[in-house]
Parts: sequence; structure tokens; C-alpha cells
Amino acid sequence: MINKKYSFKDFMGVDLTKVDSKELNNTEIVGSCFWQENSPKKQVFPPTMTGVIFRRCNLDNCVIPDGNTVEPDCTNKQIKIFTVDDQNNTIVGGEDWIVDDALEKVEKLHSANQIADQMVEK
Amino acid sequence: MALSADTIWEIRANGNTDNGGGFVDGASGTDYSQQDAAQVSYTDLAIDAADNTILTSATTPFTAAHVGNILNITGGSGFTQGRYQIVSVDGSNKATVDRACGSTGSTSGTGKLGGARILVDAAFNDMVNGNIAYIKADGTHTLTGDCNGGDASQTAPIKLYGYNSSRGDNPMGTNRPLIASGNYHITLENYWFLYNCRFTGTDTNILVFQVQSIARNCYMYNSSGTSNRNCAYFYADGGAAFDCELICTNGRAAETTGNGIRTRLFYCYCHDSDVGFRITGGSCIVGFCIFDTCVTSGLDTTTDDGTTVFNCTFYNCGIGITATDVTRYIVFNNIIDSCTTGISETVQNDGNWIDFNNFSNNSTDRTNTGTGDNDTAYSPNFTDAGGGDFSLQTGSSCIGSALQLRIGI
Repeated sequence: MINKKYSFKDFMGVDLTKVDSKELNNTEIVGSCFWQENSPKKQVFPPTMTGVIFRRCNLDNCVIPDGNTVEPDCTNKQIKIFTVDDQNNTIVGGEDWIVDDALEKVEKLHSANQIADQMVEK
Repeated sequence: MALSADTIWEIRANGNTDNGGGFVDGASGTDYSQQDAAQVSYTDLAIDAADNTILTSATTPFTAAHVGNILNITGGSGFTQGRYQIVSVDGSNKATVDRACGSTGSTSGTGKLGGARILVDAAFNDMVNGNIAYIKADGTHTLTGDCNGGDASQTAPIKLYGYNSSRGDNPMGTNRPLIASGNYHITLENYWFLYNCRFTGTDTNILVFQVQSIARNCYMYNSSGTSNRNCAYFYADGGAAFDCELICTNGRAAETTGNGIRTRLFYCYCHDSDVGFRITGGSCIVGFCIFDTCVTSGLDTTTDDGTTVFNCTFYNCGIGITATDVTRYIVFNNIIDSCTTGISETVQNDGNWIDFNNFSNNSTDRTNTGTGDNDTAYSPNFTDAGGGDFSLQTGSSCIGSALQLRIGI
């Protein structure tokens, strides 16, 4: 059963841990964005939530409690922003990196430089 | 053959990855793309024994109504997965598709005909020059990865139209489809035009503009806590945004790179950002825009190659317009009000033409900038600047005071 309240919605940065898990349990959540910027392994959902099937959702940086299912068409990476300094050690921005459980860099997600690389490849 | 340039795609939040998703404009069949679910789901597709562009299905025979629809072949031994146009269906229920779809004699292929697609990278990649895609406001469209299509062309651009309930209804405000970009972005490749959509996200850029890619009537809000990110990022020659609202809390509502030459920004509202528009590409033109509450500056140009800024309003910005080592720079007919500094140049360069601007209520009007012969200092009498209404009230002295057409009329 598709959970209409939580499907096809933008919950970017929203903390749902205080939501009554009965609103979520044993439902299917489709096409929603739960992305949490620069907060890898963040608890977003109520810890007692169970039986939820996520489809086509952005679950990056979200911890999914045991007993729930993340379908392959979701994204559930852990992503951290590492600051970029200029020559004067002033922070001028940040790069998004996929990180491991120890929050160490694994792979660059993308950046303006990557766009430049793509242009060169063309 | 290939997919027709006249293919019109349907993208819905409630669509399906595997749906066909398109219909060829003017085809004789019935358009089954404008529905959430596929019209037909095949499990027994068979490729003709002699011609690998001919398909049959025993359980759901092809009919004349299928002509023009896009069939997505999703699997089957000997089948080439992909989207195919049903070009014709003969009296024996044999469908001819636009190109070879696998090995002759293959059976048990799976696929879907009709139904809308969802907004994913593959949907962009399947579009060919001249295609149109309609994006319905039937719920939030959530990106689960970047979307980058292929280049279109000067003679056959690809056009994406957001709509609310019926194609062509040109929605405004929250009636436009919402695309939750999250940590991903969409690239408008060369000659892609985008209309009537809203975006939220935190990525380095929300929309990347390549050559002659254009957005109109779009809303972009980049709420990233990281500095120097962008809503609209003009990466290549000739991108443009019209009639857009851009907010980037800690970064730039719009930015060009050095490659982003000839960028055009018209009738846009850039506000509540760190910088409204940062220009490093040459020959950019900014007209009829409002830069409101941009903490560092409304417009920041560092190119020495001819930025033009006219008929804009700069309000409550740190610096209205800041220019670093700029030459061939033309700034006229702007209202610069309630900024800490109105216009600031690193070095006064009288070869730049800065005139017919109205300065009011700024702490400092000009730094290293000469006074234009026709500058004014009227109170603009905005209708409700705090509420985002910068129209001039009747009787405002700014009305008719700037450079305007006076010959040939």
C-alpha cells in the first residue's frame, strides 16, 4: 500500500524521528527525497519503524532502521562535504564525497571540476 | 531509423521507469503515454524469423491503436533492450518498429507500451533532437542521480515543459512541478530549453547550462549550508535564464564560469543569496532583473570583456554591483537602492560607461566609480520592497527619468 502522506514529497533536511511509526509501518514510500546534507548516517526515521518499502527515494545520508527495505532504484549513499581552501587557507567551498563507515573518502560524488572533465571528454 | 524527432515524452512522478513514455506527434494511433500505467505489459514478444524490425505478441496482439507509441523492450534472450517506436501494424498484428530490436526468431521478450516515464537520467538520454518532454505536477519528482542528456542542435532543440493538469497550461508559482534535486543536479545540454519547473536542492549547482541552453519560468532554491554553491551555473557559451526566481542561501543565485560567455539573464529575481550573479565569462548581458538582499553583492563581475547591465534593480545588497579589473563594461538605467555600496570598482576606469543610474538610500553610492552625466538620486517609491514588489508607484520620479527611446517614435 502506497503511503500517500510520505510519497512523492520533498523531505530534504527534515527530521522524522518523532513521527509516530504507525504512520509509516508496513507501507510503501515512493519517490520522496529525504536527503540530509553533510550529515552521513543520520537518524531520520523513527527507530521503531518497520515493514516500510522504499522505492525511487533519495535516502542519501539516511540510516534505515532494521526491518525495512530499500529497493535498488533508491539511492542510499553516505556523503560528506569536505571543505576546499584557497591559497590563503580560506574556505571557498566544498566537495561532496561518498564516504565509508569511518567517514573516510571513497569516491567523489561530483563537482564543478567533474563537469569540466565531462566537457573535455566531449 | 531511430526514434522520431517528433516524439513527445511524458514524465510523471507517478510514472514508471519501464514504461514506454512517448508518442510520436501526428501518428495515427492512440497516445497511451499520457497515463501513469503502461497500456500493455508484454511477456511474449517475438521477433519475426526473417526481419528483426517486426514484432508480434500472441497474448496481446499489436493493433493499429499502438502505432506511434513507444515500446520499451525490457528483457528477453536475443532482444536488445531499449525504446522503439511502433511505426506500423499490419493486418496480421505484426508491428514494425523503427530499427532492429534483436535477433530474428527470438521469443519471450518483455516490454511495456505506453505509460509515463519518471525523471531519471535515462529519460534524458533517450531524447533525440527535436523531442519535447512534458513534466507533470503530479507530486514531487525526486532525483536519485544526476540527469544529463545528449546535445541537441541549433535546428532541433530539445524542449522540456512543466505543466500542472493539462499540457500547455503554463503554470506559475507552486502549480509548477517540483523537482527535489537533493544532492544531484540536472544539466541542460546544448540547445535544451526548460520551462515552468521548480527545484530545491543543495548540490554544487542545481541546473547546469551548456551551449544555448535556456530556462524560463523556473524557480530554484539552493539551501546548502556550504558556501559558494549555485542555483544556475552557466558553463558554456550562450546560456540564458528568463523570468526565473533564484535563491542560493550561502552562494550565488547564478554564476558563469570563464567558459560561460554570452550568458543572458533577463527578468529574473535573484534574492536572499550571498551573491546574485557572479560573472567571470565575457560579454554577458543582464537586463530587467531584480537583485534583492544579496549579502555580499547583487552582481559581481570579474571579466574584462564587456558585461552589460541595464534596467535592473539592486536593493538591500552589500554592494549593488562590484567590478574587479573590468573593462568594456556598460551599466545604465539601473535603480540601486538601500545598499551598503551602490557600485564599486577596484580601479576607476572611465572607459566603462556607467550612466543613467539612480542611486538612493545607499550608505555609499560609488567607490572608484565616476558619476554619470545623467545619474539621478530619486527615491524610487517601490510598491513594497520588503514584500518583494519592486514595481514603481505612480508618481515615482524614476518613471521616465532614465535613458529611453526618443527617436523613431
